[in-house]
This record gives sequence, C-alpha cells and structure tokens, in this order.
Amino acid sequence: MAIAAALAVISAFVFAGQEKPATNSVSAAKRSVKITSRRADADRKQGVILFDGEVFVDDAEYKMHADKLYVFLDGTNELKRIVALGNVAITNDTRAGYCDKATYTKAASRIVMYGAEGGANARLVDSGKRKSELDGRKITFWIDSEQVEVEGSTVTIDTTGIDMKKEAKKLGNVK
Amino acid sequence: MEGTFENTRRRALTALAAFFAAFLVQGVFALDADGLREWLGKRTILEREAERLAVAYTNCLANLREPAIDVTVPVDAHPDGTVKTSIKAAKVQFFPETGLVWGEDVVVSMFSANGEIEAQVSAASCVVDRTSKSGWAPGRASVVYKGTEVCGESVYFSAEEEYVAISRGAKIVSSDMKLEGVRL
Repeated sequence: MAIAAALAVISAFVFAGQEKPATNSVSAAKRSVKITSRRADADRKQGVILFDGEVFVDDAEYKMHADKLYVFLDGTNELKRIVALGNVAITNDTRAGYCDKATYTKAASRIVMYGAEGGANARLVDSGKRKSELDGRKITFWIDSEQVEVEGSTVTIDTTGIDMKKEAKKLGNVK
Repeated sequence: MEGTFENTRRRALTALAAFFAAFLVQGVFALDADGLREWLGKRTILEREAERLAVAYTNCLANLREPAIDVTVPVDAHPDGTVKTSIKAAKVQFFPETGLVWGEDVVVSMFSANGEIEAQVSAASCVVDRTSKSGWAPGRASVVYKGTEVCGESVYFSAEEEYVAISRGAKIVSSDMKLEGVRL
C-alpha cells in the first residue's frame, strides 16, 4: 500500500546518516502497518488522502504521531508527496524526530522537517549509545545522497569516552 | 407481481453493489499540493452532501415498509458466467419515488475469475442515492481489499467522485507491502 510504504520511507530516512544497527535492516519484507485518526478522507479521483486529528501510524519499525497527514498520489495511485502537520513525532527504539511540519517528495527524493513558526525548532534525537541531537529551523535530507542541510542549527554530541585533549591535539595538527 | 418485486429487489441490490465496487477502481487524476485549497473546498461541499444523506437515511428508516429479508443475489458476472459481484443483506428496501436504497447488514463480495474473494465491503446499515451515486453509512463500515482493511464509523461515499470520508474512528491496517531497502 502506497501510504504505508511511504511513511516507512520517511521514517527510515529521517534517521539516515545516523548509526544504523545492521540487525534492524528490513529488506523486501512484508510487514503490517496500522494508521488511525479521528477522521479520514480518501479521494481517488484527485489522488488525495487526508488523515485528520490524532493521527497515529503504528509500524513494527517506528511510530508516528501528527495532527494531520496528507498523502498525495499520482495518476496511477503511486505515492507522490506526503505532508505531516502539527506536533509531528517519529520515533523508534532509540531515535526520534520532532517537528511542526514534515514533507516527503518522492521525485526529489527529499524530506524536509520544519520547526514551528516562532516556536520550537525541528529536532532529531539519538538516545542510543552515542547520544546526539540535531536542532534547526529547517532540516532537509536528500535521501539518495544521504546529505543533510540544517538551517538555524544547533548540534549537540555526547563526548563521553572521547579523549578531548587528544581530539584537540589532532585538530591543532591540521594545517 | 412476483417478477416486478424481483426486478425491484435486483435493481436495488445492483445499485448497492455497483456503488461499492466503484471504490476499488484506480483513480486517474493526480493533485499537487498547489491544488489543496481547491480540494479542501470540495471536501466541504461533500460534507454537506453527507449531511443531506444522513437526513435521507433517517427518512428511509421512518418509511420502511416490508423490506426484503435475508437477500443474497449475484449482481455481476465474469465473461465465463462465474459470479463477479454478489451482495448479501439482512434487509433491503428500494424507494422508487426518491431513488434511495436502504440496506441493513450489507456485505458486497467481489470475486476473481477463479472464484477467490478479491474484496469485501461491509456496512451495518446504509443508504445509497442512485441519482447522485453517493451513500451514507451511519454505523460501522469496512472495506477489505488486497491485504488492506479500511474501516470506521459514519462513512460517506461517492462513486461519482471516487471519494470516501470516515467521520469517526478511521483505521487503515495493511499487511501487504514490500519495504525493499527500508531500514532504520
């Protein structure tokens, strides 16, 4: 199903570039996904599906919450674009992404997370072994190249276990 | 007289079945985000249509007169004569003056050419307007199609617009998707 697969793609690439345990890999596997919301509208003619109110995506690999979730399909009902709006949270065991708005555009193979206007930034948190946090007004991922661009950013990295003097020395040696 | 009744019943059931079957065809147009405002306008218009049908449903209930009981009828066939679509309903009544069809415990089954069920649509009760090709199910309704189940309560549907709106407790469960290369 296009919607479910697309949401899985979003979740997968929200965490792209971060530590990925090989044991979590899923390749060509089928799995079930459940999407619930207060209200849902599906317009096959126009290629729009809207989940409205307390949207919850429950997948074996991740959970996603949002106030609204739009899914845009093309003429053959293939996924074109997804837009999650309001209190967007995507989580798995150790990683989480939070933002006010998230978009996935298939043609551009790109995900963009936006912070709330005048409010909290978009945020990516890894609470696994190597704790880290990425924070910005706008976080853009290019899925194919795994490039990330952050606007208005703050990056926090857990340095526990890292010899900072040694690291500083290394940096000092860089000409 | 018996023949007339049979024809009326068949017409009512065919309308219901054709209606539900319309939701399983593929959409042919696409909408970009730029058209969203226009689409939200359409959604509002269809909300009004749902309200009209909710009233029509209530009127049907108030005017039920000897609905057909425990009806199972094949309403469409494959070229080789095997059943393509059949409809089963605990109660059905056609209102010729308004073009409305009311049904209770309605199950529409669609079969492949080799007799396997491809899709099943169920509604605790519903009303279908043959003129506007739209309907309303005030209680629980569900569609099971190729490993995906869509269900909820207070469901509006339009065959003309290929549109379904679930007003309460919307749920989609899919167990039929390939996630090649997807990893966390």
